[in-house]
Amino acid sequence: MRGRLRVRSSAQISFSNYQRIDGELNLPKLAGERAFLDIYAVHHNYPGVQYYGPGPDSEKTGRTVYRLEDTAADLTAGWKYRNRMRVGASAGGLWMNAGPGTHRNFASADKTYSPVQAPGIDVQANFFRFGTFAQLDYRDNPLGPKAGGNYVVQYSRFEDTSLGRHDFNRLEVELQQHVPFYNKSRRVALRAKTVLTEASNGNEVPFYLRPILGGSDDLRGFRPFRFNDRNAFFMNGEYRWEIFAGLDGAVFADAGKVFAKRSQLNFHNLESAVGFGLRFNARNQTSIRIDAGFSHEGFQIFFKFNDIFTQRPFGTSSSQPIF
Amino acid sequence: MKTRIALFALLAASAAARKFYDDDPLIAEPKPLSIDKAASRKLSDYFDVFSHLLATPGELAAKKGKPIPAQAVNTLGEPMEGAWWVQRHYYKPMSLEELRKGPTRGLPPSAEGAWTVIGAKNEGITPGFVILDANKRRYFIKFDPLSNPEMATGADQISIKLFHALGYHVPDNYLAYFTEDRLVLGQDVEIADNLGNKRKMTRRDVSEILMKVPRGKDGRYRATASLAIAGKGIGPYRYYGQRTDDPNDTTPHEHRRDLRGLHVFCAWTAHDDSRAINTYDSLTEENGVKFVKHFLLDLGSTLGSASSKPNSPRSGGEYLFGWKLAAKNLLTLGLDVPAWARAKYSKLPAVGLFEGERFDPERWVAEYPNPAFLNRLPDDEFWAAKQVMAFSDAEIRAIVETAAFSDARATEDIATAMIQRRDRIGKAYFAKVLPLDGFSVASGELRFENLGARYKLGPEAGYSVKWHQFDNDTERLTPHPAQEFRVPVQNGYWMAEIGHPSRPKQTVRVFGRGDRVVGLERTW
Repeated sequence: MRGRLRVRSSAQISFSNYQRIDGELNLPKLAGERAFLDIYAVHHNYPGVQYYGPGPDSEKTGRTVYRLEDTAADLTAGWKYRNRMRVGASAGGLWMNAGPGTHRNFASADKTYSPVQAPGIDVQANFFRFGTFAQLDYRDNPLGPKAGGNYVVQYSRFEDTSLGRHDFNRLEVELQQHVPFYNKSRRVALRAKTVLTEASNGNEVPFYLRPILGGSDDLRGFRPFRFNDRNAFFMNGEYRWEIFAGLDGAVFADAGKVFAKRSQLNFHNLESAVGFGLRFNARNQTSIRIDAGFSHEGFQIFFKFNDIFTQRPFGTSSSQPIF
Repeated sequence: MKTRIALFALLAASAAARKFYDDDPLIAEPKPLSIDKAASRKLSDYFDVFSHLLATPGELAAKKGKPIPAQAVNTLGEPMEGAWWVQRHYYKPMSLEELRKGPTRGLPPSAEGAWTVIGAKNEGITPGFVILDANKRRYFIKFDPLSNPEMATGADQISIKLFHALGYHVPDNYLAYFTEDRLVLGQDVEIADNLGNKRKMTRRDVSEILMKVPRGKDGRYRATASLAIAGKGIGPYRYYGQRTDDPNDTTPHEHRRDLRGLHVFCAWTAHDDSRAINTYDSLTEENGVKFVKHFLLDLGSTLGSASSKPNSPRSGGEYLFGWKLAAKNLLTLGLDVPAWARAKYSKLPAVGLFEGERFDPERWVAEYPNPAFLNRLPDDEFWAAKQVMAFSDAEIRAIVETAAFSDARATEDIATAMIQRRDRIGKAYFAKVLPLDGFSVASGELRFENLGARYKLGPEAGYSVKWHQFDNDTERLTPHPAQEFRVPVQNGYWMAEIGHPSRPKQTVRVFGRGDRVVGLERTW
C-alpha cells in the first residue's frame, strides 16, 4: 500500500521470561495525509515488575516484585496540520491482572504491601478508557532532533468497568525544547514532564497505573520503577556534542519527584541525578544510547535503542506507565 | 653476440640517464594501448569508507620522511592530456559561452515525445529514474530533496562545469524540466523495495517517486538529466593503486598530480564526497583505440549540498571519523569549538551549507582520508591553485548562473562564496612555492608570468636568477656568471634557478635547450 497502510506485529520474550505480543494497524495518510488512524493491541506478561511502595519516601530496600499481566486494545484517530500540529481522540479497553511476582531475591509485592499501600494489588479491574490529545511539534527531525520544540498535552479517562473502584482522570503535559548552537554541533536538550491523576470520589488510582519515576527515561541515577505515586513531575537537561559523525556525547542532569497531591507540583524536594552518556547515530536518529546515571542511591548504566526524549504514540495506549 | 648485447645495454643505460628527451615536454600521454576487456568491478560504499577511515590504503609519504614527488606529469610538472585529464581553462582560456556550456554537447533529453522509464531508484540517497528519450538516448534523472528545491540540481550544474573547465572528464548533465505525463513506463521494468527485493514497477511507483521530490508552481519537475557516458562502465576508480587489467594505468593513483591536486578543487567546491564511489571508469573507444577513461560523477553533492539534504556543517572540517579528533572531542566535552562550527550560512533552501568566510583550504578535508589528497605537496597544490585563480569573478558568476536558481540571491550567495574561497586558495598555496609559471624564451630572454603579482599574492618584483650550463647526460651543472634574465647559453642545455630574497627556500629551476623551455622543478 506504499505507506498508506501499515500492519505490524511482534512477539518478544526475554531471558527472564518477560513476554510481550503486540499488533498494530496504521492508516497514516487519510484525507490527503491530513488525518490518521491507528489501532493498537498489546499483551504483556511481566513476571517481576519492581515495586518499592508508594510515595517519594519509599525505601530502596523496600523492593518487591509483582506480575503485570494485561491486554489492551485502543483506537486512535487524529488530524494533523503540516506535520506540526496534531489533535485527536482515542478510546480502548484494558484488561488487567496484577499477581504475585516471581524473583528469587525479592518478595512478592502482595506479601509486603497492603491494598492501602498498593491499591488494586488484591483485586484487579478492567477499564474502558478514552481521551484526547494535542501536539505542537516543530523539531527539525523528530527521530533525532537538534533544534525546535515539542509540546504535548494528553488527557485520559479510565472507567473501572468491573469493580467500580478505580475510576480516574489522567493528565500528561510534556514540554521539550532543543537549543542548538555552533551549527547544531552542540545543543542543549530540555524536557519537563508531569503526569497528574485524580480519582473520582471514593475511588483510588491502582498502583500499576500510577505514574512512576526512575530508570533510563527520566531519573537515570535510580533503578527502574523506583518511585510510584498518584502524580509525577520530572525534568531532564542534556548537553550534547558531536564526537564524530556517528557519535554524540552527553552530560545530563535529571530531577523529579512523585507526589500524592496536585498541590505538591513544585520544585521542592526533588530527587536528582547526574551522568554522562554516548549516543550512536545512524540515519539521523539515535540508534544506541548508553547512559551512566549517578544519584544518592548509587549509579545505573543503561543500554537503550532510543533517544531519551522519544515520543510515545498518542492516545490512551500510551497512558500506561509500563509498556 | 655478447658485444652486441653489451653495446645495447650501454646505449640503453646512456639513454636512460638522459634527463630530457627531444620531444619533451610532452603535452599529451602517448597513444594508449588498446584493450579489449576490463573487468567490471563493484565497490562497497561501506568498505570504501571504513577501509579509508581505519587504515588509509595506498603508498603514503612518511610524515617526516622524504616526500614522494607527483608522477604522471611531463617535464614541466604538468599532467599530460589523456584518459584522466586534459588542459582547459588555465591553459587555453575558455570564453564565457564555453564555460557556461561546460561538458554539454547540446544533447538534452528530447523535448518532443515521451520519456520511457526503464529503471528507477526509490531508495538510497535520492530517488531517480533511468529514461530513454524520444531519440533513444539514455539519461539518469536525479532530483532535489523536498526540503531544498534547486539545491542539488543547481550544485551539479555549477560543479560539472567547473570540473570540466579544470580539465576533468565529467558526464554531460543538463537541467531538465518536465511534467509527469511525459514519463511513460517501459515494459518489464523492475524496482527494488525497501528490502532490496525486486518487483515489477507500476505507474504508481512513478507517481510515488515524484511525490518525494519538489514540484514547481507551474507543475513541472526540475531534475538533472545525465546523459549516459559512452562505452562500457567498469566501476569506479580508487584513489590509490592501479587497475591491474589496464596496461595504460601505470602510475599509482595516489601519486598522480591530477588526483593530488584534485584536493584543492574539491576544497574550492566543498566536494567532500570525493570518494571512490563517486568516480567512474568507462571502457571507451576513441580514434579506433579502446581504453579506460576516468570520470568524476555525482557532483550534486557539492557546494554545501548532500544531495538529499544540506551537507553537515562539519563536512570539510573533519573526517567522518578520526581517532585523535574523536578522543579530543570526547575528553573536552566539545568545549574546543572548531572553526567550521562557527561558520554562517545562507538561509536560502537552494543554497546548501556553503560559505567562504571561514573556509581554510589548508584545513579542508574530504569525508575520509583520501590517499592522493594526503600525498599532495606544495607543487601539486600550486598546480591546482593556479587553475582556480584563473577563474575571474565574472566567469564564476557566469557559471553559477547556469544553475538557473529562481531566487537571484542564491546565485549571488554561491558566487560570493566561490570567489572568497578562490582567493583563500590562492593566498594559501601561492605562498608555499614561488608563484611563477608560463615560462618561455622570447627574444633571447627567459620570461615567465608572475602569478603572485597578477593576483597580488606574492612578490611583484625582485626575482633573481642564477644560470648554469646543464649536461643532459650526466645532469652536471656548471655555474655561469650571468645574472640577467637573458639566456646566456646559446647551445645545449641550461638551467636557470630563480629565487626571491623574501622566500629563501623557494626556487624555480627552469631547464632549457636553446630557446625552448623543457623542464621545471620547484623547491620549497
